[in-house]
Amino acid sequence: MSCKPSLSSTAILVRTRLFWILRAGSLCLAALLAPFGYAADLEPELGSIETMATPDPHWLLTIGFLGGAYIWDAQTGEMQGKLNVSDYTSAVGIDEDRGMIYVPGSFYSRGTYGDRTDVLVFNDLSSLAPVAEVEVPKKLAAVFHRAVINPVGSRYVGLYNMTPAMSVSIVDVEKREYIDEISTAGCAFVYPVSGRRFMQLCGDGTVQVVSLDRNGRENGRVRSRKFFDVEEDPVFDFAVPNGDAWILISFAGLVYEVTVGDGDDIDISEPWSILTDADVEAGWRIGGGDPMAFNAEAGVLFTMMHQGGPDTHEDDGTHVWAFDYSTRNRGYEIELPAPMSSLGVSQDDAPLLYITGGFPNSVAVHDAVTGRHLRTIEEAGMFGGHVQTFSGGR
Amino acid sequence: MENLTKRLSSLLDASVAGGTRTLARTVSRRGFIGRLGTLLVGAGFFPLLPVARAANAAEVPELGDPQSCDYWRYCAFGGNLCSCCGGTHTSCPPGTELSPVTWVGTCQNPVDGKHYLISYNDCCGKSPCGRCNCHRTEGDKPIYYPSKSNNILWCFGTQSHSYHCTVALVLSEASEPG
Repeated sequence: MSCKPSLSSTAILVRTRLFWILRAGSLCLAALLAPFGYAADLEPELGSIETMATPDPHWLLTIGFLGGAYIWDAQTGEMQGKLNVSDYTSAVGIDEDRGMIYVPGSFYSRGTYGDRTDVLVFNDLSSLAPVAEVEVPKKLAAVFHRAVINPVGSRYVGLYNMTPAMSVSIVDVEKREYIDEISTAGCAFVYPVSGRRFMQLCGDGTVQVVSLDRNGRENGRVRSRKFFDVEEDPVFDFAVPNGDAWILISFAGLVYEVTVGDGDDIDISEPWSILTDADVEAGWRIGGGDPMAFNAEAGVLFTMMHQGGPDTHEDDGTHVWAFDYSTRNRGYEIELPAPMSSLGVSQDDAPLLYITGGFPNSVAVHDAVTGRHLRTIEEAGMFGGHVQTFSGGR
Repeated sequence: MENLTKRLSSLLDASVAGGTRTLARTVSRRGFIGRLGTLLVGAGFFPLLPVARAANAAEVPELGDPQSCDYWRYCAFGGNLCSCCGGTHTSCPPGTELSPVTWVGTCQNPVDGKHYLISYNDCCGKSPCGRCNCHRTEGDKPIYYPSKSNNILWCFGTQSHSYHCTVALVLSEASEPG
């Protein structure tokens, strides 16, 4: 470690004298004091670097604009570490089996200009330090969404591109090499399904499933029937998993479940509404940044709700509603002390519900079964974003 | 840290008169910088649109404050107003690059009651201006329908896709709202 600080591209967050003093650390302090005999009768402390503990199902990662990616233990509310990400990174790939977190990022040689390089950075899950990177086409999508990266089978990762033409780059995380770019015109994101396949949402009211061969190259794709009208009532582009199926919800509150069979069959369930006639009359709508979450163990579906008119689907929520997914009945609701943006939930059998938003961002942690508020993690990044969970999460 | 937060908050929360949304409110939701509209790839696409060209767009009668999110041209705006960032509502700040790939909105001018096709061009190549954020979601669609999605950085076709701010240009009189 050098005693002389160097400027970084994130200097806006760190340009304080206090920061540099703290960053200089005890090592430099000891070096400075030693010649003056201050440590004559006292063993000086030496700084050290933590390694991160093994994540458990109540750990989460928050990622937001200009703020990096923070890792938290929701059980204690304590921060566990922070990942380096690029200004354009909106999600990471958590691979606990390999002990890695994959960070897609776009970088310029001069910060905001110069030569552009797009890479998938391999970060060690314990040290949270980069250990490898794979260069990918300079097409990584600059959209704020958690499904821009996801696993495709056990060996590959798909990265969503937008130029604005849509495509997906495939990286072999075993060999740590780029494989191929797959054109996916009209269809966005990477939602994993069983096998070496991924699902996408398409602008014509369908979903598409693309499959890879054992070498990571496309060997087929199928399209569902059209089941929604993007002009009349589009589904949110944030899907949540229910086992091998994906749950979608429309702006008007219609819930669909998409099940991809082993063959070419894609089953779309009949929709049901989270809103009663009285709810509609009262102007209730689902909305926010990432407005839905689901825990399959407890069978609870969560929606971020507000009262508003048409085109308010990105408004922050004032309430969170919790539905029993099997009966489709609303079990409880949480009135939020201040409007919040996004939802997440742990994927274990004692689930915790995460409600994020505000400025600076915070995470309210609730018991997902009872709705009881447990704690709030303050300063969870400068700006809000979405939540990714560990151990069986999205 | 608290002071830094307050400073940053103050900087980012620099509000403009009436109807302004704060940056925090926007970016804490979905977008890097929210935006809305219809994708246009290059000027060659314009003739295909259902519009009737005005004789001179610069002569459109108008009233209002271009530093306010309520300004009539911003009906489908998403991002930072360049008029607060060293540019104007029609010009990028110094040292930035005007994106040739834009999205459009159809806005009603309260002065003459007519609808106009508005092109929202991003100014790129610097970090976000962070001032006068303006975000509307009328007609907004999800990202898989990008031509009308407000959650995409539209610095396409520029040397750098680093977003700074957005301008709003009158392209023509629109034959119908939409």
